[in-house]
Amino acid sequence: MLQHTLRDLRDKVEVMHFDALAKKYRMSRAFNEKDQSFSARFLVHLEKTKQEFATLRPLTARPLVGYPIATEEIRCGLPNRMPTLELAYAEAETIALEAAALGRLTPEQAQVLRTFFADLEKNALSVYQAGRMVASHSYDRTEIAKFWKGECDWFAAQLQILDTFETILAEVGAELDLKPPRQTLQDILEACFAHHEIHA
Amino acid sequence: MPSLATEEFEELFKLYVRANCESDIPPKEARKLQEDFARQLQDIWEADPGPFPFTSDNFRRLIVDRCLERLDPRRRRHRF
Repeated sequence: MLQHTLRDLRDKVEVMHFDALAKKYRMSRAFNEKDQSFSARFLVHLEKTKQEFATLRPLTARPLVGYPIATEEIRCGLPNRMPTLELAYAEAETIALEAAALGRLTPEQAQVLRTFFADLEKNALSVYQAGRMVASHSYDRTEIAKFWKGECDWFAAQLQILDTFETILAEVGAELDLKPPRQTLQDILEACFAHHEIHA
Repeated sequence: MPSLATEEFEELFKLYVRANCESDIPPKEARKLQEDFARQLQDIWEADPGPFPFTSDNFRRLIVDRCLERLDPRRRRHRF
């Protein structure tokens, strides 16, 4: 009896806690630095990663769809375990543009780009796993559908970035195999779309 | 609503959890599980479709809501 009561109490606290977090997430409000629960850390982790991606500018200056993130949301003090792609993107972009201008790519530059695309792929997989974690903490079907719709838009934007790189590098004649990251992003996009369809 | 045996729902529930909630399921595997879930739902629906104007989409939503209800800690207490 006592065990059930305790479990009920724990469940109630867990739900209330997540509801509060989800509200903050939806309303783009600041996370309290004291919110260090597992869900909170994952939400912040996910948002921080998204923010890093959102700062990336596609070469064609196409606007990125996805999440406008307030800087307050990442003031959780959580150490970022994701590879930082912002600088890598700037470097990759410079290399691609330079290669396009000169019509060639040095082996060193090609290696930098290979590393960048591998990180892009790794990061996308981490974001997908974090998304599953976030969605599994909600019990409202329409809310989950909305969440996955947002993820679809975000991963579609990542594919657009890859497309842009591919077009430029193809013009240079660079032999970089972009099939694996493209396949991964497409697999993720399809999975996100299906998550959305199941819950819509 | 089509008649759904307890075992059938259990199977659907397990599939739903693996496809959508469990961690470390890669996207490709998730996609396969999602397809299995959708196919099972469709098979059940086609074997015993609900009365008009009930649709297969209504049925899917109903089952997903039942899965979420079962996962929801707020409602776990009602099972006791």
